[in-house]
Amino acid sequence: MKINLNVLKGIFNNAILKRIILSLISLLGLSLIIFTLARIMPGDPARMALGPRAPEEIVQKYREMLYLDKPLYVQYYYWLINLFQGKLGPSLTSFREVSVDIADFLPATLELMLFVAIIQVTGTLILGTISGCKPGSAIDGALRVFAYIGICVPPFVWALILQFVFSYILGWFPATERLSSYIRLPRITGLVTIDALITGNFNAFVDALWHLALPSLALAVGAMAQETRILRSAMVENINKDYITTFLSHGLPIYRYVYFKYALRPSLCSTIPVIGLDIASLIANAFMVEMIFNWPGISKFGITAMLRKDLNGIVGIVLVAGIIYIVTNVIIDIILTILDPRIRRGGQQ
Amino acid sequence: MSITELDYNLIIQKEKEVRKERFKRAWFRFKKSKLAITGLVILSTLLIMAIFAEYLAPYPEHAGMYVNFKERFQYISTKYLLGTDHLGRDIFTRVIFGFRLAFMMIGIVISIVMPVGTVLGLIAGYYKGKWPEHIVLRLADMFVSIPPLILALSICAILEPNIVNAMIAITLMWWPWYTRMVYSMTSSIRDEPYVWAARALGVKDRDIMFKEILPNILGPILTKATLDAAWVILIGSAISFLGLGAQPPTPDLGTMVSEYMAYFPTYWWMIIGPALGIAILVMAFNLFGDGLREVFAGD
Repeated sequence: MKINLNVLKGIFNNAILKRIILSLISLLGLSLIIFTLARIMPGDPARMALGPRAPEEIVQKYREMLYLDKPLYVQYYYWLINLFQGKLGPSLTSFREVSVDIADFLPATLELMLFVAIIQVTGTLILGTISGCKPGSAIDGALRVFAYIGICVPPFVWALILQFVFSYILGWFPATERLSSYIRLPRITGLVTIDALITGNFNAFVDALWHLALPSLALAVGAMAQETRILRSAMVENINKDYITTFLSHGLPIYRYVYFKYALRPSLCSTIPVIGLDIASLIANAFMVEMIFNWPGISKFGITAMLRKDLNGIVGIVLVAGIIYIVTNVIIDIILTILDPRIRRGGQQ
Repeated sequence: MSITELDYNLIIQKEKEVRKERFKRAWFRFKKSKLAITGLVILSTLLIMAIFAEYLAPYPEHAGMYVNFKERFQYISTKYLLGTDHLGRDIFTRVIFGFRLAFMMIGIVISIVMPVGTVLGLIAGYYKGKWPEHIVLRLADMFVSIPPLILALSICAILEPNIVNAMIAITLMWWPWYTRMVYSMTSSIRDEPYVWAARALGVKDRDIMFKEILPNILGPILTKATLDAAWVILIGSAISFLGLGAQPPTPDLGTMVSEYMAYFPTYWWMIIGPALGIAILVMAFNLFGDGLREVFAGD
């Protein structure tokens, strides 16, 4: 696809900027709601953090340190000031800075999400196009059944099935963790595969991929099933349109031009937003799958924070998930503007 | 005034007849779709099982707290259709009671979310460009600015983790999706000639919203409700699976998976029951919802 200047102008138009700003404001609003809800709920966070047997003076000191004795708006004010300095406040359970904790655990989840995205997009494109090009064929029927099953089985069940079959019965893949215990790797980006490539440790790279395979597949299957269905129905709809018939009657190569270029591109416009939404929501599903595969990702921090009512931790998770959501949505918008000239024109007006 | 009122009543009379005819045709189309009927049959079977769980389940007392260490970890057999768990309880019984809990959850969540979301969407769409639209939409934007499951999980975590709070969390998370859908449909319908005509006749805003606009968008709303029922089960089971929903002795499908996971992979068959239960329930709702969608799409 050729990208000229005009396209670039269309991409970074006011609409996308406006959308980023609006979503950031919404996210701040949501954080305010969660923050307020967390503070007005009964239960003393300081007491819960220090335990029932801590002496009263220490608990009182802890409250003062976290501004818990101040009114709600003062608490929110301090929290907001901290936020703009990149701090989310101390975790009430690990006593470390929440942003440090998140920075520790997030890369593992991001790596997982990246691989899921790759599997999901390629899988959807291949399966959706195959079944969309030949509606009614045997492959199409099989893929439809797969799509139905994929939607109905929640990701944690996929994870358990895959773990059981491929690592406990067949023993092809490791069941847990990111790397085999004998491999030592310095932490540079936190993404094991990229760290391995940077240090030139090929064995570690292969090992990391081996560990990634099952969890990413477990996360990808359900979403892929749904997206394949959407791409298929869009393809079927587009292939029956007049302009495709015209191309076919002109004798253009069916697959190379007509289906893959002229039918796939408009079909993608309705599929890509769904793919984007699924990828942005991955962090939520990753919570379950990471737990099963003992993946040292955000779920390890998030679930502990949630089960132990660590308020700063919960708000931190909400913010991180929201930012990932916004970034993915912007990327999707940009891809759509490249794909669909109508949006481009509309943005310029 | 009296003449116009008479005309208006006549129009409504006629419209009712048309709607009746349309419903008949829709049912005819629905009957022809094999998948939709399959979904309906599975759903009704499961619903009957859930309602009469006490009489149909082989060991009703196994649903809650019950311990029988002699019979724990039994493999699948005719005595225990899906085996027994770590406390010696019959898993098949617990799955049936799990269906009851799932149906209850769907019923409560959808019956709160659908009316509230629809009314807010109608208001926002009808008063397009005025302050109600801005308030409702901005509020909805806030709730959809993070992945739904994360929002539900954090609300559950802030409140006490139990099944009632899980329902509250799902409800809070769900309404904006209805509102946004109803909003977009309403704002496209509000400029149709018949809405203008009603307004010109002096019909109240409230009546225009609920008698003119709502019946025309009811189809997609109902379809969304059935398809959403599937998502409520998936999200509800995810919340329970992570330990933020129903707590152990409760026979919730998601809680059961997470409880039995501790004995995985040695006693792997314990997972089959609850996992299959979730999958069948979700599939039935999906099949039924797809059938409904085809019916309404044909209009």
